[in-house]
Amino acid sequence: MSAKTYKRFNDSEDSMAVFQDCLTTFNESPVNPNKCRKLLSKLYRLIINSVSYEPIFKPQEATSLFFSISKLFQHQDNDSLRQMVYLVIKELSSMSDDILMATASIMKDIQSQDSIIKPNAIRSLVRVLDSSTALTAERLLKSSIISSNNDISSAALVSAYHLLEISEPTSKRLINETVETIDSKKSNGKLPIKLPASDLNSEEFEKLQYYSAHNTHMSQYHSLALASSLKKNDEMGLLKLIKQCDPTTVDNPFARMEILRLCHRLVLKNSSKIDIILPYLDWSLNGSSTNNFIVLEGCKIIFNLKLRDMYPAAIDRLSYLINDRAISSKFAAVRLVSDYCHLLTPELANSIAADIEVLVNNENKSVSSYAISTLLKIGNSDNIESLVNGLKGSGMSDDFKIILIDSLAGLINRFPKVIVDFLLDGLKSHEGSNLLKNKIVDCLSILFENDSMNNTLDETFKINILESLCDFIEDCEYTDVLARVIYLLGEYGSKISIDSSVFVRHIYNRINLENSIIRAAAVTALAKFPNITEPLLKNIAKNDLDDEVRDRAVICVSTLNHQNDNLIPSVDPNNLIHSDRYLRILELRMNKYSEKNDFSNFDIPAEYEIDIKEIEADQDMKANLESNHLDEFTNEADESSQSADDGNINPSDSILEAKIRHKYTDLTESVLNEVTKSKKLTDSTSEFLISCQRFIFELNDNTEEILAFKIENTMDFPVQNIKILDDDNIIENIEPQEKVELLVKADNVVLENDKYWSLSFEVDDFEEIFEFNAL
Amino acid sequence: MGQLFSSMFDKLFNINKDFRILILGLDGAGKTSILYRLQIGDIITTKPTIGFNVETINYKNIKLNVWDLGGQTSIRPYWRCYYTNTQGIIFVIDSTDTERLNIASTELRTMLQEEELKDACLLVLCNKQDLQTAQSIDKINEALQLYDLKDRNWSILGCSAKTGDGITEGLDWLIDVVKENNVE
Repeated sequence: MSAKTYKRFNDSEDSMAVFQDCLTTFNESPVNPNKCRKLLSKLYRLIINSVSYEPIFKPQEATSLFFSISKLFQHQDNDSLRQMVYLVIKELSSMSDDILMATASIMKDIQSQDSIIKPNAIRSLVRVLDSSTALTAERLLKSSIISSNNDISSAALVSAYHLLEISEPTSKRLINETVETIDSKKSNGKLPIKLPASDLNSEEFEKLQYYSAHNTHMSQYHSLALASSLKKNDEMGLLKLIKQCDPTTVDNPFARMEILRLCHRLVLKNSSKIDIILPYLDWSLNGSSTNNFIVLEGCKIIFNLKLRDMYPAAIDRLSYLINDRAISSKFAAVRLVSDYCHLLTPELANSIAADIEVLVNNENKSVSSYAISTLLKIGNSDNIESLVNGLKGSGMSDDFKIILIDSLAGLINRFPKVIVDFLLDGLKSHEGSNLLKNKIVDCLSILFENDSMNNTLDETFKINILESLCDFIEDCEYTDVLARVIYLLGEYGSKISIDSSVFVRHIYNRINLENSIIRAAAVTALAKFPNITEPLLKNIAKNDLDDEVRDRAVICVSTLNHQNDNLIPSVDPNNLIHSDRYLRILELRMNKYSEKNDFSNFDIPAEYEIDIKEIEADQDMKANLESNHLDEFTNEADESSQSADDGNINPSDSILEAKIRHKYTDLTESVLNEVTKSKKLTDSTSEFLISCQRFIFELNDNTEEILAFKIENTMDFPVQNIKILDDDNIIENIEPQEKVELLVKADNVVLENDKYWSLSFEVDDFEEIFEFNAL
Repeated sequence: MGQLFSSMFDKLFNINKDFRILILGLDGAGKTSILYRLQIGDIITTKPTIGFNVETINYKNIKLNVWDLGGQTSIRPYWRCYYTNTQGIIFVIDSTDTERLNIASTELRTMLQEEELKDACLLVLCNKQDLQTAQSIDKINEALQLYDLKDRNWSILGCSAKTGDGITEGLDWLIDVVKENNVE
């Protein structure tokens, strides 16, 4: 299709013509299948080619289209027409409201014997279902999942996956069938159809041959993906699943990949499970028949889990991939090295750097940019200068420039001249996103900060940079970048020993031309040059239209009048880096000041030193609290903070105490001596969130310890007969998301460190045991 | 011989085209059962129809496109989307469901007022006549007040999709009338 006709095709006028055509043709009786098919493909192309975010048809139009298309169901014996119908219904389902009218017809097709339209029908079914009708699809999906036909099985599995969003319970009921398909496809990978010998020439046999030759075992991947997302909160289930599917024997490469990733996720959650992944990593690196992307995934996992012993092997495989013929392998490998090269020892980094250097001149821009960026990060290359010079004018996209600038940031103090050149080019160029320009300013700030501490740069070089920045602010469209550059000019321009009036002039120009945010930044910058700018600031303080700008100017002027440097605390550069912290401290102090209701004097320097210690302590506590928040139930974090604050027993503890006394009557006379803070025994992602609190009672010089477990069931189904450790203590039934308490006498329990305790429970008559860390 | 004449007659008047029949009625009346009794001649297990079933039935050398639309309250509003070009309507009543007879009557009246259906003939089938609790045809007719209908070919018959009684009689009547209408 030429560009001309393509454009005409996208006209909205044309979409209405197709729309009208469809309405009249589809309502004809009898149906003309060929004509309808052509029209449907026109319609389909219209829908999927529409570029705007708005749907191409309004709801009413889509609905009438849908009803006219639904009339094509009366034409029974034309598979290709039916397939087109399904394709279009899938697309229309997001635009039309009354799509559920097709449900019965689709279900009928799924029940039919026709294996050609069945997959299409299954995939469409899930688009027309809603949470109320989803249940009716359960049986159909079940039987389709276990179908011996891969296409049907795949379609059903993928549909069940999409159904998760519509009706999770329905999808969950499919778990048994799903797991079954992983198995069956593994054991008899080919189609399990037995044919009598006489049928050797039949159409069936040809079909079978076709299928076994082209069988990609894709349904393995689909069933694995579905099973793992159904069991995502069930660690034991996932472990079982992994045991069941050894990636070294699974046929489908995507499925192998998925198992690797699944193992990876599990190990990230629970590092004690590292054993499950190690053999697979060896296999993924060494298996000669595996795909490149599995090798890459293996390397990525090795770096991610920081398995140092395996780095050499991973680097070896990566260097092999870098020399691979396929450009995609080169790209993926070099990107991986770039992401993780900070983990490598110098020897390893050098060995891979030699391979990467070859890629610098690769004609694929993405590969060469990543190669350069990686070499820069590895940073021991002698030819950094030529590398950076090579970057100029290479027409990279912003994304790559940002990656490069990140790696340059680490080098800027060592090779300032060449890198600053490159940065200023990027800054002054009219192209470039806000993010890119911000990154460049970041980089320059690092340079200046370092210089103000160590004084390594020579004056003329700095003047050159600042003058370039002056040029830049004349012509910059991003407010935040502009404000930051003005800050740099004020901060460092004022420290230049020669005449700094040139900077003042440039900054003052902004006062006249820009918006209030920039004007405010400019005021602060101007205040750094008090000798020149005092009259200017006074003028601004009177005349500017914006409150913030005037306020700033007033403050600046009044500090100048005091001629007292101490009024604004001289923040040393180290603190400036943590200016966030400084601001938080200031905020806290001002809060305290206003709480006191004594508005006499707010004297920063006087209280600064004392406060900072107090506040740091305060912040440490806060930080602890925050981490508690992450780990524990919110209310428990609050409880522990309360008890930390005043040492009193908090209310929920006393409720628990009462419960304990109620349960263990022999403790009635005793005195509660100590309550420990509740401690979390499982990590926050496990199936049961268990925390434990120890209550220590004293009676006639005997101490009695009671362990109070709080158990929360995070699974989506109720669990029966929960026991911890011993048989005496049973909780009958615990509903999803419910929290219960279980009290256990400590003398029944051996308290040991590093011991795994067990929690057993029953689900649908199966008993499961769940282990968690001891205290 | 008579057969030969009749088919020649059909060709002569060009009525050998497809006819479009709708099966309507409240949920649970037995519409889907009647459709498949017509098509495969046997009773099948059905579940509530979400949407519609459509089957092509060859009956006495005539091709019928029979649409069975779901009868649930939520689906009834969509009936009208399928009225165009309809020659015949089979309205199915659950003879045992006396309580909802007036609802059925209202739905029937609303449907008959549609402009697109003004030439369609109406067959009311009182299903489930095999059951003890089934109301008589006369009683149902009284409730529906079909005698008031003017300018329309209509008939009311008892039937049972389960046993198959009365189904063919109904269809025979419908086809005769539809043919007649289209010859004129």
